[in-house]
Amino acid sequence: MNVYRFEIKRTWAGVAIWTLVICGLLVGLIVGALPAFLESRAAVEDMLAQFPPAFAAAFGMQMDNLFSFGGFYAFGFLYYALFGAIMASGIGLNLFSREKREKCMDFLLTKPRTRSGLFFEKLLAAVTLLLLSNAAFIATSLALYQAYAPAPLLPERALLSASSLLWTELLFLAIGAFVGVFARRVRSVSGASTAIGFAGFLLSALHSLLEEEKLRYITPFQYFHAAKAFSEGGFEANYALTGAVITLVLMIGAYIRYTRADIPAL
Amino acid sequence: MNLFRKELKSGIKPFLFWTLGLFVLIFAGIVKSSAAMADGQFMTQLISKFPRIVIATMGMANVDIAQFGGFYAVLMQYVFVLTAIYAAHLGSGAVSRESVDKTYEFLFTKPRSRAFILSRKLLAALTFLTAYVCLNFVFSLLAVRQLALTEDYTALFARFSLTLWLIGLVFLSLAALFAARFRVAEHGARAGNLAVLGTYALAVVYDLLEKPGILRLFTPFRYFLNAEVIGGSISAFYALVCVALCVVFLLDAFRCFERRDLGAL
Repeated sequence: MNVYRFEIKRTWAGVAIWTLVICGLLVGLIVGALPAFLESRAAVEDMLAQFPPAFAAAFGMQMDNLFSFGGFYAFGFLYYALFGAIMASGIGLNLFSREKREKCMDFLLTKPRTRSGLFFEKLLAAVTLLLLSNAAFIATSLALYQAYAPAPLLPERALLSASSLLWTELLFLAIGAFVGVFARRVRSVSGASTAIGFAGFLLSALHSLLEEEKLRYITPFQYFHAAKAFSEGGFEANYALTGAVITLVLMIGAYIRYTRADIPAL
Repeated sequence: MNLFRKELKSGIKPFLFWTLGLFVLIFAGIVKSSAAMADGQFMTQLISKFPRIVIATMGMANVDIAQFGGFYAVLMQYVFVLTAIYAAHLGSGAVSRESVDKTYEFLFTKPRSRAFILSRKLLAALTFLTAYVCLNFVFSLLAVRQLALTEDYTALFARFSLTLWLIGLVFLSLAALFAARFRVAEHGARAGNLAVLGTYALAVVYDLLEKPGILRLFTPFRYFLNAEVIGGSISAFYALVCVALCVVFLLDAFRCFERRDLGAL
């Protein structure tokens, strides 16, 4: 477990800071704006009354879902997901390209450890960090839900909804690991992870701007939809499945490459 | 000229990659905009009833997405982010690329001053940024043709592209400064990227405040407000701020770079 301990030691501080930022953002949004958001329902309903019934019907259906804790929670999700994705892909890239970046691959691989053992220790370290980070996020979410959501409370739905960040982060961890293993060289972990995270953010923004359903299959932030989890008690199966399959395929790809790649001479 | 040419050559592949992102964003955004604009008036009215914080997180503050100009402004907010990241990448790469690749001993033992080398590298980075912004203009023009709109948007696109360039300059020079200041290249790159993320977060905060006041100075993303640019003016004061920041950052970057201890990492 040396590799595991080493990777945790090297990475935990960054993860702790990201976790604080994400939880702080969550607390700030809910405490600062949820009451005002719920109050604005009356104004929105007034306005809808002036529009043709067709519009109102199309929209009115969702009123109860929109003006709830879950509806508001999902508004912020774009930003938690952005930070989480940068963090998670950063962890993946950092761990799986560390020896490559520092040009000490041969030092690690000549130790009496199998490559698959090394891969799994690194993966385990990454997953441990993500789980700890998400435990904090979920605990914060549930505490806020207890404090701010109007009755009746549905804690299991809140739990599912809060877990969507974890699934999204696991997907981005896989992307980061894949890139880290396959790229010929990784010049800057933060540069690559920022680019990956914002790519997800931009795709998500594009999707909500255009409302094109097909686009959602390439929009990782929307595979595990927090609002849907709240209102219906489950993720939409086809998108969640897409996310899970992509995560697995990338991870398996990274594993195969890591265990078989030729190590270039320095 | 050798150095400049070589920099252009090695930067062309990432440039094409970033251009692809720009292309997708602009084409998908503009070509599909008609659907979004159709119920745009409804959406705009609807959104105006929500608290500011919701509007700000959706990136739709102070614009009317029923108009093409407003829709384009929302789209450009995302292009600004994309360009800022690319510019930061260019800036920190220009300063610390040789250290990261551990090739600094080959280049900096050549009979050229460090300032000479850095200036050529930054010039190449600037060329890429400029080309990128020009492509933004061209893509926008080509994409809007697909829509068969009656109005002429060339001037609007030109204004947005100019502001894009100015903001890109700020992030490019800031990232160059960070890369020159930090001893470890990765720390410099991280500071540059965090600057983009932080100023973007500030821009969202700016949107959700009723009276942001002085906050505008701290986030380049709000130097040029949508309403102004759509209305046909670019704030001369903030354009000057951009240029001034750029000059200050670059001068300091050169100063630090001249004195630093070049080494691996």
